[in-house]
Amino acid sequence: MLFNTLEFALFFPIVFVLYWFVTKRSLRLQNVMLLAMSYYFYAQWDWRFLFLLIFSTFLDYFSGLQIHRTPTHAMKRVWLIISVGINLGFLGVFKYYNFFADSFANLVGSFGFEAHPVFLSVILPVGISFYTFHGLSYVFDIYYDRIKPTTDPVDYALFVGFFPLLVAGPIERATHLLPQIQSPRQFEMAKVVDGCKQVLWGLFKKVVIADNAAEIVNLIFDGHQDYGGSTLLYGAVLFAFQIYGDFSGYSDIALGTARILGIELLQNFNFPYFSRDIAEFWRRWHISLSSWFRDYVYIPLGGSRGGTWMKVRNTFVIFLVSGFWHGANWTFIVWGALHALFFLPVLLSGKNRSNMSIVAENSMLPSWRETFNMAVTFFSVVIAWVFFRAEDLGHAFAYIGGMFSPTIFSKPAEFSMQLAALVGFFLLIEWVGRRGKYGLQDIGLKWPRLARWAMYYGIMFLIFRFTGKSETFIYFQF
Amino acid sequence: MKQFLKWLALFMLLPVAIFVITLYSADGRTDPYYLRFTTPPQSSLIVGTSRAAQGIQPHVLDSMLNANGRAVKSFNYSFAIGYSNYGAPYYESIKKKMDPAAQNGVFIVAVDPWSVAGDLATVRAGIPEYEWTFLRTLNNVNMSPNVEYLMEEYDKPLLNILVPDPRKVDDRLLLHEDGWLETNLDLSPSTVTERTAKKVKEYRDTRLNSSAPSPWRLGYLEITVDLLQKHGEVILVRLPVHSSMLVLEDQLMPTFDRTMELLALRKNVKYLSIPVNDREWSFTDGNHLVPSDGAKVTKLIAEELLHP
Repeated sequence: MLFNTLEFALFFPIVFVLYWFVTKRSLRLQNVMLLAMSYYFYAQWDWRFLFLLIFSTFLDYFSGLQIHRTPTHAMKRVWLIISVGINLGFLGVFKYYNFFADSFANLVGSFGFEAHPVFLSVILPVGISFYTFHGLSYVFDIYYDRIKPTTDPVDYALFVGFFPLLVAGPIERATHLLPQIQSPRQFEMAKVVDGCKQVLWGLFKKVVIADNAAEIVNLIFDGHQDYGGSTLLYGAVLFAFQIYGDFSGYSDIALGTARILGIELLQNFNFPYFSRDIAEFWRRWHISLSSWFRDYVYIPLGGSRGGTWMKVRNTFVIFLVSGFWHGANWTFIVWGALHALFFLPVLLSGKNRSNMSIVAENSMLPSWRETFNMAVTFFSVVIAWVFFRAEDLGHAFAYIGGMFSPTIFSKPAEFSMQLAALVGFFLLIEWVGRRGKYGLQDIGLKWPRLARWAMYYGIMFLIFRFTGKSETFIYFQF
Repeated sequence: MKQFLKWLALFMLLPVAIFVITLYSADGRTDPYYLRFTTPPQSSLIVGTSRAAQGIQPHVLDSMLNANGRAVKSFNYSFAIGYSNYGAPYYESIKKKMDPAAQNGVFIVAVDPWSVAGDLATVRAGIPEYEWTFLRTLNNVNMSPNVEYLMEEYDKPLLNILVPDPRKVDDRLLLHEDGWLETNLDLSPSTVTERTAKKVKEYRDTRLNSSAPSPWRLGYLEITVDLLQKHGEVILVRLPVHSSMLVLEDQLMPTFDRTMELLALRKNVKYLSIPVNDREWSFTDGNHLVPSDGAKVTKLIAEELLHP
């Protein structure tokens, strides 16, 4: 069930009514209902994988209790290893097995040996990377004594399986979400209206920006050999907007949906394309994943405390792992490595925390220097996106080779004035609303109701105008 | 809460009104399939691929049969090849479209080698074809307006129905309420020749080499006949095509007519293979009959039903 489908348009009002009207008086009943609806939501993709989700949930719930109850550190460690091992084992089998088998065959092939690995014919359970990381953060936090485990299996199962975040995040932390699940939620009109607005803006990003950009991006990436440099650059820039519209649009819908139910999820995007350096970009892009890797990989490795070599090593580890998390393909690993290369100069020069606030915080327009820095950061990110989007490394290198050719100064083909206008409108709203949690949040709050509604109607009109392209969300594959 | 619901209802009034008007504005120009999913379950059906969709005209069939004392109201439930070749999705969809109480209906089952051919690799591997077509996913086929189809399967923006994009308006296709897809194409000899050459090339280059007669599809044709036979008289019909298209079909399945004759014999139904004759039949592209010849071929089928 996708957020932008008829099923969800019918599903969510039912949840809303059951949640705020039927089960409101009992927190327990409300959570049980929410869990049942979340499992129904998940089963719409493939009900068989529901068992995997339930097993993973039970494993982490039980491991969490055991880690907490076991008196000796050695036994705590054993339970942690069991939980992490099985979780990563599932991820390995479903997501990475074929990649390793293929890479192994290629490696021994390069030494003149022949290997015939057995490949698995399995489909990737949707959301496995996300709910596995939910569970891992929970057991890590218990192991490091940051939280106490919950003794209520329903609360824990809802923490992992809450439908807005189940298939593509944000990757929640037990410290943030569990207390909300365990406390009664109050209906607050301002929050619910804010949630509706965020859903609207998320739909706009997905349906109007991402799906429209996808049509041209697919055309250019699939037939890259037929296009000149300027068109390839145009395709790469459009992909940057496609993936941002797609993923941050999904996150906005997830956050808005949860807020309508009185639950605050972690902010996942914070206007990343207005970043002035790559460190700022990573504080604003897929925040829940970046902070997960920071807290559970980077800091345990020593973070940026050690010498230069330690910093370089840890930076590469975190970016390579992050790339590999996205998919079992060398393209994602190179994407991660490129970001590590972009990040290192900022880190080593000690400037990685020099842009902590939003750009042009107290003015309408950025300075020339800020504009230049934003452009350089955006262009670096665009280059890396080529690897993320390409089918394989050969495709990516051919694409970039074609991009940096004399034809980069020619007029791009496949240029769409309509799409340019839509992206322009999108950027304008994001820029004006950059101090909020999402673009539309604070815009028009002081306008007369009619003017504000006219703006919302305009956005709804655009969504209806462009529905029907039925592109799935990119991050579902991860 | 009450205040929220009041404002929400007020705010949603306009979008919901536009949405409802949009749904009710969908018609035979919306796309080549929509109206087929908006009628009640039917008691007489024409099934097959786009040849049947464009060729067999229910109003012609009904008027001939009614004039001869057979009260029939037929409905064309044929789609394009790729959707309505015989197989699980089409069979299940036909089942949904059938009135379960129907008796004494008339069922024209249009057949040709492509409609029972499968992917070559799949056939060789001996595994069933698996098609994720909209006929498989569409649950409601008897609903007006068909919200499910328009929201889930209609591949253009919804607002296109209400405010068609003037650059993309296609007035060459009109789907009638009885399911007949009328075409209004340029029929000048040079255009038809060009279209025919293109169509034959497409079939030769892309379909012929990658297709093979599929026992699985033949099996589904057989159970489709079984299903329809429970509700009335079934006739298997092979519509005429251009001779250059027939050459390809003979390469794909040289024994097609014999296979259909045997099937008809086994099921005790009629099989009408209309001979190919480029002088007698006119096509828009070598594959689909022009509307006037569609009427002619429908009359032939009606005569076969009336005077076997």
